[in-house]
Amino acid sequence: MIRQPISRHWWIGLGVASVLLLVLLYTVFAGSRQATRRREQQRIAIESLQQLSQRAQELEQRRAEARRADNTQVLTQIARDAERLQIEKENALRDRDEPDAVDRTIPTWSMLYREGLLRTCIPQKKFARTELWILDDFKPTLIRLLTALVVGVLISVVIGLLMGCYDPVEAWFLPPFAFFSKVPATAVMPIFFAVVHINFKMFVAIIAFGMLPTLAQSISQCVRKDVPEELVFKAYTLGASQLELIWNVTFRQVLPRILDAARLQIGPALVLLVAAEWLVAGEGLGHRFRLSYQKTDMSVVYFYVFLLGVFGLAADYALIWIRRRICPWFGD
Amino acid sequence: MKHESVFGVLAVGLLAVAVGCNTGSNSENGGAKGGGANSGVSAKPPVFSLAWSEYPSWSVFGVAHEMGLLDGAEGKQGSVEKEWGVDIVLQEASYDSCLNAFTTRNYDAVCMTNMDALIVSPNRDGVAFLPTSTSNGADACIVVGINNLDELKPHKIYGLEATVSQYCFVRCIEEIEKQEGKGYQASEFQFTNQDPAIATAAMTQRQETHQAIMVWNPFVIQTQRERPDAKVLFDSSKIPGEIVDMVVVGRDVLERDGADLFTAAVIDTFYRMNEALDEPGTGDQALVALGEKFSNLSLADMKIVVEQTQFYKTPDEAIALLESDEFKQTMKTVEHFCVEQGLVSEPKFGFGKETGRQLLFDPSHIKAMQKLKAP
Repeated sequence: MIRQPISRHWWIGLGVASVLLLVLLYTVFAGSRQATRRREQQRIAIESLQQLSQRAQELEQRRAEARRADNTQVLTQIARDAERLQIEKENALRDRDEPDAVDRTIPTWSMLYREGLLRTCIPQKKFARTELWILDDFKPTLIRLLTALVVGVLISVVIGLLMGCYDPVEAWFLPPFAFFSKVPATAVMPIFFAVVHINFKMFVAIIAFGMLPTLAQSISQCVRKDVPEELVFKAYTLGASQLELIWNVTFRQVLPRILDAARLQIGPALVLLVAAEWLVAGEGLGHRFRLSYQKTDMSVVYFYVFLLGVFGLAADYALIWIRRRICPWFGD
Repeated sequence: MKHESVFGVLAVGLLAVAVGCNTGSNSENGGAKGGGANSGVSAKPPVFSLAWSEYPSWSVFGVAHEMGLLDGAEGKQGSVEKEWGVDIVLQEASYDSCLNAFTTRNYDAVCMTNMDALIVSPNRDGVAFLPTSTSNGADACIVVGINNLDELKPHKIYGLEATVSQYCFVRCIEEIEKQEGKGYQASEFQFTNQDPAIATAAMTQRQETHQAIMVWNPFVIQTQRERPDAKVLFDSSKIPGEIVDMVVVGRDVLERDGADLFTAAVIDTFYRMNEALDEPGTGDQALVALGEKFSNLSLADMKIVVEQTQFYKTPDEAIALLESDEFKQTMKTVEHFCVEQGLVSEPKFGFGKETGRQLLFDPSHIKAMQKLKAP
């Protein structure tokens, strides 16, 4: 039978179990990666030891020949080669007996702590400057994101409301919006890079462009569907002007829907932002991701991904809470 | 009454769109910040932008920011910027986005090689005013389990297409062919476009597709360190002096007020950084810093890196290069390659103050800086 309810204990228990399983799988996976990398290091060390012993034999032969010919110049050269060989041999032996290679594609928990958490949260001294990664990376990204969200939502709300209230406006905006909402904003990025130029405004413009057509359309739909006719007529009967009607009735009525729609736009906006930053930014999250990927130094990436998840959840709950506070009539 | 209000509302709607577009396309003052800043009477120093990508002799500017000689942020000045009275905005980006952004006038000056300067010149007139280094092993073809050119043929070679990487690849094969005479032709090889950083990452992550890559330093050493079984099949030491790394500024920029101060400040910074690199105490630290943003290289490795990337450490070296006949000959070779590959149809480049050229190699900016600095 479907939709069979379970007890609260089961709910929580299953949730915790799934998270624990995730953590366990990650631990096993990371551990096996490290083991593979060390085995490979050992294998290469053993191979190079074989080569080294061969080279040592050749060197001995040459040494014997040089002794016979009594060529001191060659002998000193050979002695230097032998020294270098000895160092290489020691290195290979150390690699074979105590492999220390680390795989940074899937870091272990201790690496995540040291190279992810500590490295990003402790200021690093760079000559005359101090870098605090977590601040340097999140600040530009969040400022871009918030500005773009505010700009995008404001424009969408104005246009969406007007589209919902007046047919000519809808007829005017609908064709371009219907078209542009089908164009992936990532595909338009090169145009923005070239036309708007790479600066703060460009990030804002890309995100605003990405959300405007869809958000405005969905707001206009809400205005048409969620505002009951009788409310409109009642307001007119009471002598409301058009602006009063829009502000006091329509806007209030669709405000919770707007908040919900805006909340759902945070995800796509972040997608666009990180992609654009990866491509062209000189600072910010996307930039750090690019650098880390280049160095195959992924601890920071995992830590930031975790933080982004937490941020997304927090933003979600915050907006739901705000909606409940300022639109109590809408319910949960 | 109804119609009037509808049109009123329509006007408001259009206004909203106009505002929306405006937030997006205030490009004029965003892109050419300097123009407005210095033409007025305000005391604000003129703003110029310099874009650089990861490369030993260009990362110098990033380290100069860390050392406080420059301040990459707009509205802030480092010590050298203050001396010259300019505000340099540093932008770090990948090599090909630097090139694209140069032609779309996103940046005033960009670090690139002589060959790429030639390719972008039809799209924006440029002046190469500061040669930074020459590649002598800094561009290399790195392979895994491949021992000669014959074995390389079935594999894809990942590198940045239509740039200096492909140039080096083709020229090296030509040189090997001259030596060995086995009938090798560059067209037999599968050179595949990919960002060098991505190609390097793929190879160090042991992705099976990546058995051969053509990249530059610090990626070359980085790959060798992270993948002990990888080796260099050939590198730019086969074509010494042909790849010259430089800073190129847009001709349009030079017409702005304070442009001479900008070029002077960039040149001054570069030579001061060279002095810092040679200093016994801080030099080693600065050397490691040159590579650390993009790679995990030790001091010993970085010493190899700068050996393979011969810096033009003094103004005299740079001037001598730009005025030498050898370099003019090199540019002819490069031009021949670019035209043959169809990368550019009729490049117009010249030296010194020649007129009617799209790309100039001009030592006068270095001389001007020397003159201004001399007491």
